[in-house]
Amino acid sequence: MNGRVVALLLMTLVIYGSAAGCGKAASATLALGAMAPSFALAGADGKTHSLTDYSSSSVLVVVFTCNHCPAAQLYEQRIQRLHADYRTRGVAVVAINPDSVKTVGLRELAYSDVPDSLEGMATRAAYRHLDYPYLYDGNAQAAAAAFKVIALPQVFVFDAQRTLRYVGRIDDNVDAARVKSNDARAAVDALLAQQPVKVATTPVEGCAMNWLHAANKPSAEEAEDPGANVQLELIGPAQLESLRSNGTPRLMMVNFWATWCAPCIVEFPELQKIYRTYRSRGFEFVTVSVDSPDARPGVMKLLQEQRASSRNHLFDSDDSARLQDAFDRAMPAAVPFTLLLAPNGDVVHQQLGEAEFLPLRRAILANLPDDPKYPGLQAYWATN
Amino acid sequence: MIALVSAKSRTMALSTVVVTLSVVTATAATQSPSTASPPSGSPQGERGQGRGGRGIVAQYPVLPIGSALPDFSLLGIDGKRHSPKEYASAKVLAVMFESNHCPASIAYEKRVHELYDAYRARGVQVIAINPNNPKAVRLNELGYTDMSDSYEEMKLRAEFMDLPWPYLYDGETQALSMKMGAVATPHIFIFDQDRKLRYQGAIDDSRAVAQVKERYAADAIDALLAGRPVSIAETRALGCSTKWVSTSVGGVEEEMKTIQSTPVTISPIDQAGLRTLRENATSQKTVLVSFWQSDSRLSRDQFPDLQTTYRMYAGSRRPMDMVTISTDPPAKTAAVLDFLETQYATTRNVQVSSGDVAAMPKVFGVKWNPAQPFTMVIGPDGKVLYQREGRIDIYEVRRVILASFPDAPGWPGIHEYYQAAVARTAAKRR
Repeated sequence: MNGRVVALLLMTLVIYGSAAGCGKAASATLALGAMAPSFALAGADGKTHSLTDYSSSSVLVVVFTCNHCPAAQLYEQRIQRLHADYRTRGVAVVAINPDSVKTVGLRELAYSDVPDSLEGMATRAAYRHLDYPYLYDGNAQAAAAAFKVIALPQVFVFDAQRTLRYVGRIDDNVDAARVKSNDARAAVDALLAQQPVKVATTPVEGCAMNWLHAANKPSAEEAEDPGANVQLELIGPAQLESLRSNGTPRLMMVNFWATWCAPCIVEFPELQKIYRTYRSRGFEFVTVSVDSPDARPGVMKLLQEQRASSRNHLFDSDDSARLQDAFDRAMPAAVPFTLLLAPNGDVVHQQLGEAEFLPLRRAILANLPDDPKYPGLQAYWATN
Repeated sequence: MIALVSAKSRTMALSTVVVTLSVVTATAATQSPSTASPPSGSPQGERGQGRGGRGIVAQYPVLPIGSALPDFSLLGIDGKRHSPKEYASAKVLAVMFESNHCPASIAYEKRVHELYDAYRARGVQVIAINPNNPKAVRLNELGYTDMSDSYEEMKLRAEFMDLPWPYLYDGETQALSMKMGAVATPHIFIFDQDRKLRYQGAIDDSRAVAQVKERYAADAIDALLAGRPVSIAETRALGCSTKWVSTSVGGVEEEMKTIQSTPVTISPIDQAGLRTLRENATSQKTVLVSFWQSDSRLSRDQFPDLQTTYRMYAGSRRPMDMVTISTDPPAKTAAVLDFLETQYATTRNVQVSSGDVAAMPKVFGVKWNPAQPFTMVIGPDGKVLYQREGRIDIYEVRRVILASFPDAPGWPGIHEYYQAAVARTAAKRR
């Protein structure tokens, strides 16, 4: 049948590992000629959007996409330009996210600053200046089921009668610099010119659809890291100096904290979660308690409560000034102090006082090694 | 890292990369390893250890040794504005950045007092400055204190502890704190007669009084009074990060949002439940019990402070719990819940079953008018540490709770501080 689309899941496999959603690539998506399924979904703008809201537009482009998928991220600005370029020409562009915190686990967030929640969508849209409607279908995936979505991002272009005239990819290369065929734009142009769409179906590359009903879906327990075997070692001047220069091939987050420091305790769970989110990409986390060695039981208790799977240290003497100096003479006296160290020891991000998590996550993403499968992803995170 | 996005994005990418990842080009500081003091006051971006590349950058660098005392005009707890010229006759001026809430500051309060007493007759003026803005201090940062860092609370702390030195509030603009690089409390700056900075950093070298070997601040003052150079001019003051209004207000709002989105519940409690609560045999926590009645004006008035107390200690994971017990008849449950909801009462909230109100005094071993609020603090051993019918002094209640906590491992002496504070309350009452 015409509407058959093959999702190329190579990249998806890289991201998803054993997660659900792979291997169902050949299932049929919505067929050309089908009527646009109706929907009524909450948008990142706080309003409810439904199919009939766009009835005055002569062309409707529905893009299924999400926050966490690197391919979706690399297409964000292209969707935005499609929206901006055609909005005055009677074309409506609507993005729908079928993912949710129930379908996307921590491991899959290794490429994202925000989860696939409605709140995360609003954060992303604001940060990336996306002003197309971005709707949340993660509750029941009713829209995704009606459109028979295969992979993200996937585009559906409907004519004035809301008949499906194009389905598939946005263009032929996730690397924007190497695009040769702007398939979705070509379809929109054809419809605006009242001409037949020459290439009406194209394959979709991206992240496989994660269905709520699928078995093996990532669970919330993943975040708990139940297997964490909490370790705590004393650290002296020589090791602190060596810690400061990193010297490992990995990006390293170092957090100085203390049991008596309330903001330290408050931020600790989120820092651990950040570690669990990105560690599959060669990311390290070292915590250093500036408490004195006799505080060891209290430090250990807290680390265990937090299931701190990070590498954990405690100052080996009460002489905190000397130890801080050993780490770096420019280190501030107060805690919490969090920094990101590049493999060569460069400080690529630092925060005195309670960490602001979004800037921290974005700094991590911008400094993790670039992924050859997603050219430009590191630059995407290094810019706004 | 190659930006293989569109031309427009690529331009954006490169320009921002330059800003975000720009390498600070100041020359590497080649400190001799024998130098005792850190290069505080380094210009922004100067490297700590002669390392190339990007280093730790101080947002507010510490005032360099030799700098003049910056001018200021700050409101003191005496209601007057204070500026440097007022202290012009002092041979030495010690400017102590401290705060009400920080355990490190609290641990040093007595040591500052001793310093003040020892040197005031010798022409040394000690002044304290609170750099924090209370709007930037979250409730769960108040786990070691009876009060926050507002100007009003500075007055209360000084009055309660009989602190004799001028205590000035910089929380309004935080301009002086930024200028001097007071990024932590406690942090002392000592100026000579010409008001040039001669020492900055810690008061001494140990959190534990018994383990102090070096009395940096006292040694610096002694040297200045004797006309000698200060041998150790800079040390590092470990403490609590200054709460900047420019960056921390969001966290305060976030905390309140979380509290306000927590569901409020109420459940009945019978005689057996009351007894378990009173015995407090298994919680291993200090429990604050608040009996109240929805018709009682005083109950309603005191309710917010009690909830705040719970948020301060339970919120910062100190071993504390709180239960509110409504003595309203069961027919009033809806009104009780309604009030609890307006207070975002995230505590455990119970309502005494009708037949058990009479048994209450027996279970708790004390009689009171159930139309009045009644407040009790029960230690983890089941001992009653505080009980009062009617009006309470919330700070007193908090000090009783703080005194019941085990010592903070990082700041030995905090437990003792609050034990003394509780004794002081009793002494003041007599």
